[in-house]
Amino acid sequence: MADLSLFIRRLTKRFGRFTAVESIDLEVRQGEIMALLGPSGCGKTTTLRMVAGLERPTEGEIRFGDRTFVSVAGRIELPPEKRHVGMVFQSYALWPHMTVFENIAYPLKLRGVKKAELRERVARVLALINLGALTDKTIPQLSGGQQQRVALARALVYEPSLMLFDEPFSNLDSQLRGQMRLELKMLRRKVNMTGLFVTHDQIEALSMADRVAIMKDGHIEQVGAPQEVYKEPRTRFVRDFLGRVVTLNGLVEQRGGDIAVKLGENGPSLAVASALPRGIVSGDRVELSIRPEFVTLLGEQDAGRPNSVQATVEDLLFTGERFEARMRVGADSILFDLPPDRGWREGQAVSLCLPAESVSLWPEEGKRV
Amino acid sequence: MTQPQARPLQPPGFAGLARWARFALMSRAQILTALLLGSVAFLVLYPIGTVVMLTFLPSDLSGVFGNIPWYRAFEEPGMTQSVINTIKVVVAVQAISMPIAVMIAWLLARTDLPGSRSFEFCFWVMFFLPSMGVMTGWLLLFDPDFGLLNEWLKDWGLVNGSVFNLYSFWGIVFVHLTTYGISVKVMLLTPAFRNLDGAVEEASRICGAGRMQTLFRIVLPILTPAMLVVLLMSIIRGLETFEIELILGTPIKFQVYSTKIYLLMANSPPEFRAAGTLGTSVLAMVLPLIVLQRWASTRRSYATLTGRSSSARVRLGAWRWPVFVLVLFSIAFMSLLPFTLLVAGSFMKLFGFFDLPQVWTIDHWVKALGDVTFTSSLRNMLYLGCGTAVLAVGLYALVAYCVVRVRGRLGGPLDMLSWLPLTVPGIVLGFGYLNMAVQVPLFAFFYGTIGALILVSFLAAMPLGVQVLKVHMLQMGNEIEEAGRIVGGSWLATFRRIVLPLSAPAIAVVGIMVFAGTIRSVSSIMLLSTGDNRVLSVLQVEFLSDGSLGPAAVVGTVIVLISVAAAALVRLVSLRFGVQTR
Repeated sequence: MADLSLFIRRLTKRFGRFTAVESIDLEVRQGEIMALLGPSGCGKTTTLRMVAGLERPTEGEIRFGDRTFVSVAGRIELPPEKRHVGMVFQSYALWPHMTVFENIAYPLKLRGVKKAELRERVARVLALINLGALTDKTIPQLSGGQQQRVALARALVYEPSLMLFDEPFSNLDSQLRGQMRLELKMLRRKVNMTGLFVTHDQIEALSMADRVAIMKDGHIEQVGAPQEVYKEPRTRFVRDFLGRVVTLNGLVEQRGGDIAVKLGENGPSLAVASALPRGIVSGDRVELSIRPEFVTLLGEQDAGRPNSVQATVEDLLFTGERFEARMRVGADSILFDLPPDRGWREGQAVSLCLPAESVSLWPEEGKRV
Repeated sequence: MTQPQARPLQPPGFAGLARWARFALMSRAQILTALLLGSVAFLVLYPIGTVVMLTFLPSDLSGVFGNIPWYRAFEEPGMTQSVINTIKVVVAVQAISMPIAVMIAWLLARTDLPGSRSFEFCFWVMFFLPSMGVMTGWLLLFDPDFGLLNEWLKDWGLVNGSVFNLYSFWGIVFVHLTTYGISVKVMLLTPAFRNLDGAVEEASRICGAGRMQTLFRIVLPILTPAMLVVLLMSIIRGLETFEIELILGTPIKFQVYSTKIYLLMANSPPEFRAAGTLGTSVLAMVLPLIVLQRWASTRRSYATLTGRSSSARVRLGAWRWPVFVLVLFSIAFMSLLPFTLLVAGSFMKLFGFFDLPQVWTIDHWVKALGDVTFTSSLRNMLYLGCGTAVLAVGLYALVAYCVVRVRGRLGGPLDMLSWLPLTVPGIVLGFGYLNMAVQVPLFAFFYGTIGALILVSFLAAMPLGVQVLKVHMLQMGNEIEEAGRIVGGSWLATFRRIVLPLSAPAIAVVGIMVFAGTIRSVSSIMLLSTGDNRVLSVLQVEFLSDGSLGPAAVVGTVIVLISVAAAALVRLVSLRFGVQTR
């Protein structure tokens, strides 16, 4: 069997003078699900629509296996109906004048599938997504979650070798979203699919995809496995977009092979296990960052432990499962969650430990290297 | 220091009663709704009632209500034929205009046709073109005796006799098509096509359907309810037409029911009962259509299921510019050409005769402007247009407000009633008022006044006007008004100082629309028209009927210019302030 990977080469899309996607390269390997993650307007949906054939690229080419979907240089463009891809739309785009059955059967009818086989295949895909009872319902009678499933079934029924998802869960409430994520993940065990998945929700991207491509302003900032991009972000944008961070400013102190950062004139010195960013030498100002889940709260008896800092609680917000606290550490202000089982008060001093192996260093904000 | 005295119980006078009624039964808004409900019901239902009652009058009252008893009415020559002719015209016009309008709406809303917004505006202006002006223009081209096109064909030796004759069934259909027949549908369908979520089209393409397959299997079926509403609406409107058939049909003895009613009433003595019977039959015919239309429009519309509009339009590819030229050409053909002909005709010595030694003259204009009939008709027209507009905006705003805010047992029926005039063809409404003036001495003084014309025009424009204001007030939402009450304003103060100012653009739009619609319409005021309250449009009918085409062209030009200016103004105001006019 031919290699069914998706290749995107130097893909560019301009709308008038605005460049939505600028010369991106991306490969989605066979059987892999790739998430395109980024804030709105970063070009992720435009990229997906170009793969689907709904937008015409300004430059570049898209190939799937040995078929060329589009090549601007080669003057080739397959219309969407000839690409044989499946797509789940953000608004589901179900056809309101058809029943559930008719919606799902439509792509098969277009392919000239015989009646008996058509019934059987629709029934099979309905069973796959647990919708068998709703066959004859009309679309407005369905709930949001059910519509979502019908949209998925319609895309799966003709067994396309490439599936495209455009923010498929963004119209669902958070509980349903979690459920659908799980279901789709389970579905992957039953159906072998190569997929491209567009989302602005980092949890969705990290939990659903085999690899994540983070986009910003029409560029791809980083591509990698979820844990890799989360733990080792290559840019500040990727770091901040994928989750919360605690950042402190200080001066680099290098003694032999050991690196430390001194916070303020009288502040503590924190050991750092990671290497110095390129262009940064001893004595430079740096930004020290750590994901809050790696920061530990120390009891009073632990005061003075290595790599710990003193923080003062400034504001407290009780949210039920935790206290969200704004704290002051030297000249910096950080956000950190406190456990709900103790009584906290504003003005209270606490000790936080920032383990050397979880800390990373960045050039100062706004400084280009 | 005196303590404030406890007020003694008020004697059960009027004020006390009113207070009690207010407390016990209804709010002020509800009282107002009840008043409006009563007045509108009376103004619409009573005259129609007198028409229907005509059929129950004893037959020995001959002479007063005409010589033909109602049960003999349909034995009269031409009665049944007039109903059949009406249906023939409606069917021919709809069968031709619907597919064309659907195609144009699709092109304007869902493809990358250049200039689609400007085209949409052109169709909007065309909807406001008075049909008599357009018809007068076409006469210059298609008159059997002197029509330019006929003459050219003869000169070139292509044919012997005249090919085109506007005074014919197809002539009537042609004028219908080139005035509101296509334009109103394009106007109503384009937004429906545009509101359709583009993703449903894209999903179909992804599933493997081509461009045209998607149009016919997805887009058109989804929009079927919207198209049905538009079609029924056009049929109901088509049943109202009068002036085109009166001018083009009468010379060839082709009558539709509305011209038949007019002719029966022009008899001496006027055949009230026969006209009443015909009017009642038509009402019975329209009623199921209205029920169907209401049903179709209240069903959940597919097209508005999602608010997201498409980002990519269907690419026409190589067809893009040929289609552009075709649409441009048809718009020019339907609007600019007849208007140019009309203006040219008003400057011709003898309308349609280009081979005279001296073809052009400004005589018609000079004569018209100096003629007291023309100037008084112009003045009357402005009185009628402005009077109706002023009366309309005030009362429509109140009606729309009560329908939106009060709802329930009073608001619902008021909503229905504001729709009712749509079911009553203009000629029947006018006939009802004429009949009322004859039957009820109290209303006799009303006949022949501008006030009578204003009243029927006010009723005729009510469905559209109330609808626009209703949509506006629904959009405004409850809370803005509730906030006005909370901070201490009375109900009336809130209406006057918050609701009205916020609605000012919408009210202005409705006012101008009513003005434009009123000055060009003939059917509802024709039977109530006398020498004293004659307006320009009625004068135009008179000129056209007795063959004074030059003066008719002058009058037509004036009405067209005022209508188009009003249409442009409406569009401007609604775009500027975001008022939805459909």
